[in-house]
Order: sequence, then structure tokens, then C-alpha cells
Amino acid sequence: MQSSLPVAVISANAVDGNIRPIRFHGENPGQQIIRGDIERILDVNELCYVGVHMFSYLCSAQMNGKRRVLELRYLVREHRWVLFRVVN
Amino acid sequence: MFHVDVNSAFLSWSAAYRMHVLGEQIDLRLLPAVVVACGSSRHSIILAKSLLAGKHGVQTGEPLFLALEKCPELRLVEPDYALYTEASRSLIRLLHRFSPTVEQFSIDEAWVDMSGTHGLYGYPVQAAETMRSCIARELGFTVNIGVSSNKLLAKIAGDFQKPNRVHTLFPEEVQEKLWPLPVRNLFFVGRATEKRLRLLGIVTIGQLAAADPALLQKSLGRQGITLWQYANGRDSEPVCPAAPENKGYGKSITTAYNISDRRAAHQVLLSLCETLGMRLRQDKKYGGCITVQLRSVRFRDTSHQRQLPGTTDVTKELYQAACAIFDEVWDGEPLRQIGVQVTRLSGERYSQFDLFCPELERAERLARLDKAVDTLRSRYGEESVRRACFLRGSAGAMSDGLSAGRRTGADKSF
Repeated sequence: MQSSLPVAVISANAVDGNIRPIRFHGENPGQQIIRGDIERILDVNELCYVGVHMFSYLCSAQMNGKRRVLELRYLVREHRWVLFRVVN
Repeated sequence: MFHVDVNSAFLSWSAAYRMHVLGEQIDLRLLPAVVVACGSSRHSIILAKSLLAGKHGVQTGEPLFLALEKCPELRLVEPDYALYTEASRSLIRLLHRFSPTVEQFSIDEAWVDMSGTHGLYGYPVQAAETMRSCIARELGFTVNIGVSSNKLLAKIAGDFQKPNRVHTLFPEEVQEKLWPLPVRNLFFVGRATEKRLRLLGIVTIGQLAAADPALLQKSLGRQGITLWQYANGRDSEPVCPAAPENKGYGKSITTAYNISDRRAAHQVLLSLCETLGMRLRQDKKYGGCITVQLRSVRFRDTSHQRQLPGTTDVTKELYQAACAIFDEVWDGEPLRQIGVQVTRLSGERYSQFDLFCPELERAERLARLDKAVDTLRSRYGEESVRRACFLRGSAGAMSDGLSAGRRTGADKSF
């Protein structure tokens, strides 16, 4: 039932502490490689559902040759990125 | 006064985590689901249930096999105590944004004194609605909020219809909303008290409120007067933001097997004393009285206590005293539960030492040893150092260790 996908991310950390994801890479349950290059960050939100501190990045990205809008989440305590959902 | 209570806390927190962090599409709160301790073994205990599971007759605290008989399609969820602690802390942090006076009652309940916040949040019900929707939006789980003029009525109001509701129970509403309820719904009325009240012909809270307080005192002692006050909606307890200081430290363990030999019992006592000693040292407290509690396989309870010549936080000294008490009181009947309590607390260690005896040096060496072990355990985990006798025994080296405090919500620091 798990639909968010753990991904490896290359990101840029600005001097003010802001993190900007640039590229991600992961493997879906069907063991297919998923790659994406972030073109634009549309929205950033700080979330704390059930006390889990995370940042949500709504991005426009080139994913396996197609332009997609997707949401990446950075789990602060675990220092981990997940591809939370692909919007379209 | 607000009373905030998380609906089916453990289940809600697990469900919200799965949806908002793991990205699952299914909301466990809308299915017949339960959180069970000890995996899916038949004898596991139900820790929390969804409303739908409750409608099938599943009850918190009952064994899993009984619950599965009532509802075979039950979804089982493993507990995640670290998540629950974090969720509880985030709730208390959010409540502090509304008022500086918050008293945490348990891992999933708290009182908030909203006196003087009318200008900020409006009328009480309006403020409670703002708080309720803020918790749902920011933390992803639902709560019930009881609104009243004192803690008791606010708590009872919070237990009215669930989930995700705000209810009021002001003193002028007591007759209409509180008195028709069964007496069991009153705070501090358990099964035994309910039985005794029933013998007096008291079934509803209204009947308790109308009863003669002298008669109640005769039957229930001082508790009778307290319950009579409660039934009339009277409670003058203020909200206490700081947790009261511990009067004692206790730990008991129900074993999965019957303890019928002294050696095994001593091993369990050592495991309990390891935990208690570590908690005492963490809080810089020293105990002067040790109590050992035993429960036999036939549910016969025995307890015995002993005053120490001084006070101590040294595991070995606690263990030796506990063993001596155990040997005095145990009659050989197989045991299912053993508990140790340390009371008569002091902030200082004191002992009566003999100048010509090496006791002083020995006690200091043991204290240094405990300190070193505590440091290792806090840095590398509670299982990093264990006594050799636990390598082959069936008792755990720390009987759940410090994590037990965090699990039960007893650790209220955030």
C-alpha cells in the first residue's frame, strides 16, 4: 500500500539554509529506474503531520522524458527524501 | 477550560503517518482496524481501535483472538511508540500556541486553561473549533474538545459523541447533559465503585448527585464525598502546567511464563532494579524504602517493604534489598507478575558507614560503575551493556528500560 517512493536527491543548499532539489533517482516497486530533473519549484511548504517535520516541494520536472508535476518531501529528522506523489 | 483528547490516539497517529508520510491512499480510521501489542500472536492485546472496529464490539484491552472472533476482517497495525511520543509532543507544542497553561494528563490528553483569551479567539466554542481544525490541518489527526468552566466537566464533555467534535458542559447544563448518564461515566468511577453504588440503588450520575453525602461517606469513605461533588459538577483543581514530582519509582513485569524457582525470580528482580536504578540516577534521586509486589498464577497479590539504613540509587544495593524482601515473602507459589517500587525519595545520598569497614569505598566504586554503564547505554543504546547472567536467561536485561516511560506518556518533557 506504500505509494511514496524513497529517492536519492542532488540538492543545492543556499547560505540562508534553503534547500533546493535539483535531480532525483529511485527505483519503483516494479524495479524500474525513475529519474527526474527538477525544472521549477512551484511551491514549498513546511509540514509537521503527526510530529514528523518535513518540507514539501511541489515541482515541475522532466521525468523519464516527460514533463510532470510532482511532490517531493524531505523528512528533516531522518535526512531522507521521498517522491510523495506524481500529480500529473 | 478545554479538555483535548485525541480520538483513538495510537490508531489515528499510525493512520495519519501512513497517509501523510508514507503516502498510502487508505485511511485506517475508516476501516475496522486495531493497534496490537506483541505483533499478531493470538494473545496480543488490543491497544487502540477504530470507531468501526468498536461498532463490531471490539474493546481496548481485550486479547486479539477475541477481537478476531467478533470481526474477522480486522486490519492489524503494529505500534510505533517513537512516532506516538513525537505526535504527543507536537500536540502539546501546538496547544501552547493557544495558551501558556497546558497540563498533559496522558500521552493523548491535556487540559488547556483558556482564561483571558476571549479577545484573541472569541467565545469558548469558537476558540475550541479553531483549535480543533488547527490540529486536524497541521498535525493530520482529529481530537474531541470538551469545553467547560472546570477540569472535571471539560473532561466529561470531551467523552461525549466522537470523533472530531467540540462539546460543552457548563454548570447550567449539568442537569440536562450529565445527570442522565450512567454513574460509570463519571471520572474515577471504576467497576468496583460502580458495583458498590449499585448496591445503594445509585445507577445514574443524577441519583449520585441527589444522594445523601453522609451515606456515601459511610459506604465509600472520603472518595464518596469526592464523587458526590463530581456528580454535582464541582471541581476546584487548577491546571498544573508542571508535572508533579514523582513520589516513587516503580516497575513491574508480567512474564510470559510462570516463575517457579528463586533463581529466575532473582533475575527478574535484577532486571527491574537495573531500570529503576537508571531512572533514579537520571532524575538525581535516592530511595530509602523498597517494596516488592508479587502476583501469583491464581491472581493472589502479596507485597512487602523494607526501610533501608540510608538512601541509594545503586543498582546492586537495590537488587540485594529486593532479593532479601522477596526471599522473606515468597511462599513458593508460581508467579506471573513481579514488581519493585522505590519510595521515601531524597535528593541526597546518605548512609551509615563503619569507619573500619571497606563499605564506603565499595559503595563509591559501585556508584562509579553504574555511572559508566549509564553513559554507555545513553550513547550506544540500552542493549549495549548487559550483565552476563542475562545472556542465557529469559528475562530482559532492562525490563523495557527507560522506553517504558516514554511509551506510557510518563515522560512529559518536550
